[in-house]
Amino acid sequence: MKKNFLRGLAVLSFSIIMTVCSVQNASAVYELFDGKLEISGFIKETVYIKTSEFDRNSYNKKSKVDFAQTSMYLETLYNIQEDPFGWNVRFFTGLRYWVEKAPLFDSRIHDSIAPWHRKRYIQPRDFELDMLTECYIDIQKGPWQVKVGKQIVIWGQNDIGRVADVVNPLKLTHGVPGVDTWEEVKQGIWMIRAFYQSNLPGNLLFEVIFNPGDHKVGDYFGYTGTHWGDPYAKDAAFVPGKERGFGNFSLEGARRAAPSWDFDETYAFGGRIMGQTGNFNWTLLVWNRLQDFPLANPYTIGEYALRYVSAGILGSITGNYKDPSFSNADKYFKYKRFTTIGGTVMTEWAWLHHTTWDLEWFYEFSAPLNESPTGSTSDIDGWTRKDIFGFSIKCGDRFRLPDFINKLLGTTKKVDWTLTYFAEKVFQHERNLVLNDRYHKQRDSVSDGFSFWCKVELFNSAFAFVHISSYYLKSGGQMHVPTIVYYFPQKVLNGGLRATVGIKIYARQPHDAIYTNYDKKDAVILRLSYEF
Amino acid sequence: MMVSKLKTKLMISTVVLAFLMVPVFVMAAEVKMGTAYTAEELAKVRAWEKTWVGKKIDQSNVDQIGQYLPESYLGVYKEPQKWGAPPEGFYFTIVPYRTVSESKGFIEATEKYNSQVKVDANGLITNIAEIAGRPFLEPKTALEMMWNFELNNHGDTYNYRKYSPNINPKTRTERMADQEYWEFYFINRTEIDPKPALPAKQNKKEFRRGFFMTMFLPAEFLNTRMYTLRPIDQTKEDVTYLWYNQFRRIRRLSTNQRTDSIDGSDLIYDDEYLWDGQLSRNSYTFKGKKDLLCSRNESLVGTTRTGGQGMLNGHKFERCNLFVIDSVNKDPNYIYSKRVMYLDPETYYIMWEDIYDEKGRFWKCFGNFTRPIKTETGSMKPSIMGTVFNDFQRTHSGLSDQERIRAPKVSLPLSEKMFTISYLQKTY
Repeated sequence: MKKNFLRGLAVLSFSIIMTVCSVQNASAVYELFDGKLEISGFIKETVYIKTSEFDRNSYNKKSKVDFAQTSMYLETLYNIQEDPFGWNVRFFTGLRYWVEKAPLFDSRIHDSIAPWHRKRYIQPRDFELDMLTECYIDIQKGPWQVKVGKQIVIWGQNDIGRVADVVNPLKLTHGVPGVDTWEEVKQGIWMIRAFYQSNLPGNLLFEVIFNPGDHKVGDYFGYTGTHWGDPYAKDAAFVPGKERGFGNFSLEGARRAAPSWDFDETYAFGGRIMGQTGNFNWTLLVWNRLQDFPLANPYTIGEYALRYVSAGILGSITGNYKDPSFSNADKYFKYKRFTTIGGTVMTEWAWLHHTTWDLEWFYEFSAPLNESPTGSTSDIDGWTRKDIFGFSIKCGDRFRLPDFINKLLGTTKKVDWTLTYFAEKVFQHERNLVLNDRYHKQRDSVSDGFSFWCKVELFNSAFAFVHISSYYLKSGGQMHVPTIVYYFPQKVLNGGLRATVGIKIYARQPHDAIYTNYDKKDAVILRLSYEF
Repeated sequence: MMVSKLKTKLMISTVVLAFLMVPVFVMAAEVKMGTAYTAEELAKVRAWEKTWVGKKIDQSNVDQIGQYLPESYLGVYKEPQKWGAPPEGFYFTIVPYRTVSESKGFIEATEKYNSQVKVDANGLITNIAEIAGRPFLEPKTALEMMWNFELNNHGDTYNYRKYSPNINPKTRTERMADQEYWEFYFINRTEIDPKPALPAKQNKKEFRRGFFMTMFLPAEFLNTRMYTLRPIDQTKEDVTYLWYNQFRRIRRLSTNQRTDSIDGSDLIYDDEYLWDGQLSRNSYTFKGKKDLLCSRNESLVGTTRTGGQGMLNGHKFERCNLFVIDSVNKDPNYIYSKRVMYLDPETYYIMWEDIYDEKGRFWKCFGNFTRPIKTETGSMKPSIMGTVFNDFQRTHSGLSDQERIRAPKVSLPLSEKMFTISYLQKTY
């Protein structure tokens, strides 16, 4: 712990020295060693002030601030060799660090987070897993390019959702896509990635990826007791430890069940072709991997639940809380292999007000799913495989506001917006499939919805208003995040300072037990960032 | 024997005469690239220069040369405080007019291809992919003048880094933009082989020009990259792709975006070079000539500016007799109702441009600063060194200084492979 803290402090101090004390640079990127080494990144302070709260959470927190994170990201690029007509060799690294301060100044929040989660929630625990986002060498000559090392791959074109973006698992314990950068929410994977730019019709670009066994678990749910996690289950019976609930116990068990690097079992591979036909840019992809979040083993999960209950009973009898055991977690959770194919198509339709259109699709062959009589995770009794098809279609355009509004808002810039419809269908659907983690209404084979994004710059672009919304049609689950950003002028820290104020609002239909992980997550967002 | 000697002498005389005649023939074949003034006009300019050359022009005396400034800029020099001027106000000095020559390669291409230009009934050049250099040596119509503008190939390739403050003179605050641009001509090439066009296999989609941009500032756009390809076919729109580094996404940009202002500046994408789009998108009318002060032989190095200041101080302006062309976009909903372009008849750069909003009200005035610079192939090529932008409705300013970070490079080796999606995504 101490070692990690000191390492983090060293990185943070280095970044501050590099950015604040170095000679002012006209560019956002800092160049050293005759321009061969380029350094950039950001330091960010984010605070969420809750505007709604569960009654049972009232004594779980001393204040409404349950998220106060200082985070930083530093990327370095070393140009080993540059020759536009010959060999190009570059070495890239990305490092992140964070300190989540809410559990440090609020002892109730601190105590409500399970110790196994608390340590890596407050700050990075593992250099490779938590701090090193990317580290690769990029070699390029002529039409060939090879990148070897830890990388973040982005295969889709959607800003918020992930349809064809299937390579890296996410880590959503501290942030969400669309609001935070990919470096903060995606987990890098060690891989060999090769490209070949052909001269074939359509300028076909071939890409292949081989992951020799680096398997990372997706953190798709917040930790209990934290801002993005469930409130702790004080009212539940037989709750061991500090009343953290079975969900929390299962999440940690699932994480511990993950197989470590194993060339024979945890490898992943795939590829993509990019091309252009007429006015359409398209990609086709295939990806084979182990799941990044496991299924519960229906034959042993009862035994795992018994561990939890036993610890609860023991705690009730003795009065001393006892954490349940996670030993042999891989007996209760299984990561299964499956294949995804997908693609994207992008075009502009001049005849339709010059709108841009992005279509993305995926087809998961034999995707592993759990079964339960009620279709929920609480009474899993089987597992199966089904094919799942999903797609999204995004329309983007710009329009000019009326003159008097533009004058009022001090802008000549158009309003930029996108509207996306997304849908997912499970084939050979049965009523007992557990699909609530994919936002399907109970016993419904289809989940669909809309997302919306717009941006308008105000007062000579000193401010920007950005709005993000999403709405699931069948469940009524919805999110609305309006924010205003202020860009400090050039004379303040070389123009790199930004302040954001916003609010995030969630809602759902009261009768459905889906989208519940966003219940009472409404909060005011305050953010100050320095980008360099 | 005698006959033989006579024959030898005759042959030697013929060869010597032929050598003497070569320059005469060459001179006869040399094209006249055109100058701003006739001899008579130039004599009058020289007489005027005797009074004004070397003089510092500021608020106190700008009225006396006011006829040689765009009306809007005369107002800026008369009311400098409104535009964020330092205590000493805005000032510039007057230098003598000098002709500006095109590069050797461009003149040779003009000689070679000038007579081969084919035009249809609408005035559009039909064999644009087969020619290079200046198509019309004595342009009669506005469209012919604009073709000369269009076929200015900026040295086949052109690379510059823009230091561009967006300035709010009222609050004396500014936001910086820093971008590097690369321009590449697939056809109309005059400086670098292959000339005049890349072989078809290197230009299968038939593009005329590629334009690549990397952004360094504002900070959230660091390493965001964009390229635009302009088809040879005038009826086809530009194709633009953006790699947004922060989200690592490739986005196809709508051509609709070309008329949107660029992040707080007073520019839209169509405003690069003061017109950056297919020539046939506008209708042009020749309105005569106008003598204006321009910066066309001077470096921006040495000019001065403090933060929040909307104009550079220390410019050196010379008189030049410019073509005046009204340009009206054929799209009735276009953001501007009219551009009035002041075109340099020697370089065919737009030196000044008045812009009117959709309702016909005067909105903006932009000015280019040009000078000949040495190309990577050793020739001298007139190039844009910077631009000034002023929005007179919002009292807002912008500058682009292409010499501040480093000097532009002309006719440098570039590959057409820069303008691909795979290149957009390369590690930066």
